[in-house]
Amino acid sequence: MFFETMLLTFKVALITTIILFLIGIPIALWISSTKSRLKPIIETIVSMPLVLPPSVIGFYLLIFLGPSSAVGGFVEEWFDMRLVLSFEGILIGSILFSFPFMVHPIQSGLQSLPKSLIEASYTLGKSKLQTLMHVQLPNIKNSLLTGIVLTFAHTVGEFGVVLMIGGNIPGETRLASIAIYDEVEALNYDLANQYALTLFVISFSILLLVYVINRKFSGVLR
Amino acid sequence: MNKLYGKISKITSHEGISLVNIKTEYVTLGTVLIDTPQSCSYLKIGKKITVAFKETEVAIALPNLGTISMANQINCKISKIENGKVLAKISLTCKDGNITSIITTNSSQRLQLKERLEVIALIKANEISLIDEEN
Amino acid sequence: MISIDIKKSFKNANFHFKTQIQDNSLNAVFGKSGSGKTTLLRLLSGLETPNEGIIKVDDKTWFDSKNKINLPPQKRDIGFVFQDYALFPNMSVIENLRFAQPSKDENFLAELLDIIELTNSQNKYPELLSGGQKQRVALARAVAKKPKLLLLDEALSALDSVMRVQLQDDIENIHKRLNLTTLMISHDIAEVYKLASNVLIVEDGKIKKSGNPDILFENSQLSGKFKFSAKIMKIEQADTIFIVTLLIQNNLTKVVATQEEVRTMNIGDDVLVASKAFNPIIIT
Repeated sequence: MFFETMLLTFKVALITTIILFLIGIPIALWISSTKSRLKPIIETIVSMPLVLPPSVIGFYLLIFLGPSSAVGGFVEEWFDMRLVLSFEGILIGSILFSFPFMVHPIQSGLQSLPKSLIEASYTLGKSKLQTLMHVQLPNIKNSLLTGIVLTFAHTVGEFGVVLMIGGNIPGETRLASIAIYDEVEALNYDLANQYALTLFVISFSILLLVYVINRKFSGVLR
Repeated sequence: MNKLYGKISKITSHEGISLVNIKTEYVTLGTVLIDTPQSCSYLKIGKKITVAFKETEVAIALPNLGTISMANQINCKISKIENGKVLAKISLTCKDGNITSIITTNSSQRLQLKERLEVIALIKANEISLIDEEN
Repeated sequence: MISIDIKKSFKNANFHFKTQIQDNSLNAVFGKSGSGKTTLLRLLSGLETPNEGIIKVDDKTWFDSKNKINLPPQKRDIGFVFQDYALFPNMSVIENLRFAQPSKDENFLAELLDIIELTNSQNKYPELLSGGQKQRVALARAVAKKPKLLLLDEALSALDSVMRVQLQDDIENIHKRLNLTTLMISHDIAEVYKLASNVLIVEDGKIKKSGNPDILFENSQLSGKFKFSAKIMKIEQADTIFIVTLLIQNNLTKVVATQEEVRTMNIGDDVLVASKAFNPIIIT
């Protein structure tokens, strides 16, 4: 049971991070370069998970993605997939809840690049995509790494949203943070400690790795 | 800086150098410039122009002076003399306005300059600048 | 030939540039800061879009507001040298140059590296280069795709005088070698005289005048040829006159003035000192 729960926890964190990395870059790029009047609205939406209690997000997801809702009903009918009390459900919850942790570092990284780098690339005949791939992203490796790690770590540690939308189904939606709560409730302090210590050690190692790598990136060699 | 006002009446140019005549109300003054009507837009016959020259470039002669190369000669009357140890400041009035000349006190005394005396102010052609004040 | 007739308005500035630029000419864009020199270059490069007008290069239209043509910077045949170099930090010198080439031409890259004297440092990353070296790489990168038009935005203003002269020579070499049409912003009259065959004088968002570098002397209100901007440092009376001490660049000089003139002067004033070209004595 312990390994299954840990595996599930990291599976959710990994998939969440990959998906957020792919959609976070275009969103951060848009926010950092747009002059649109929609910008503050999008920025606010992206940042909402920072201020909202996780249970609020979980609650609304439960309502909007439940089988009796339009979205939930549609997905269930056409894809035979249930979005609440399921693995897919906690994945969606994690992605929404970790949004700012991926978008913010990438956005501030992109904004800190001198505008002339991008303009220089354009005048050299490079398209926006080429400029993104060869100029912008390679020069914000620190920010990308920060975004990845924060998202991953935050997803591992998430509790409220996952509990609300996923319930507590062993092997399907029970993640490590919930398991700890469970074991403590059941007075299984040893097992709770096993989960807690594992999370602690892994989180510590990841963060340490990030700081070491960041130091190398910001040095002379790129 | 002494200033008199007039209109350009004649321009003679050759190889980038021009002799420009300026007619004020009562006299005609000449100046040499390293410019031509091609290189300098305000060098046009009839253009209103300010003639400027430094006080220290104004020489003073008593009337009936003999032949002299300086063509710019203005008849004046001395309105005021301030003698310093070395330099004397001579204020002059001519029909076109006021001119100041700074010469050595020695010369001022040698010529026995005094107020209300009629004199001739002399300015070398290459010491006169033109200023286009309309621009 | 490049013909420009474009208008651009910003919140508190209006620009209207109209001129024609001959092929293979080296043009200096001269004017006070804020007059619109950089805007002119950015409009030409497509980094900024005019509100209306037309930009034609030979028989190609780069911009035409009436026919809704607006080539992006990528499609305009230009090289742009930025004031802050804008070298890509993640690429070495040679990688920066290679990135600029649409199709690989290693022989040409080797030649460029030779001109900018960085053959031995081609694998260094930009942050290890001096300011002058960075600017030389930026220049080489801008021409690595052999553009038609080279635009230099105050490329030399941050360099010391030795490096400046070297860059000026580089620009001249590359301009001739590649038959470029070049527009360079410069504040330095000596530089303009040395390099440019044509000068565009930009004033209040317009090209006030263009022609050979001698036009820099024209239309100043005063016919004096011996002329400098100066700052008044000291005014003191001496005998019946006054002596005004002036700072001209780094040199102090003294000029005689009368009491009437001194009345309108203040310490610290920026003034123009002029004399007829006939007076100064040149001592060699």
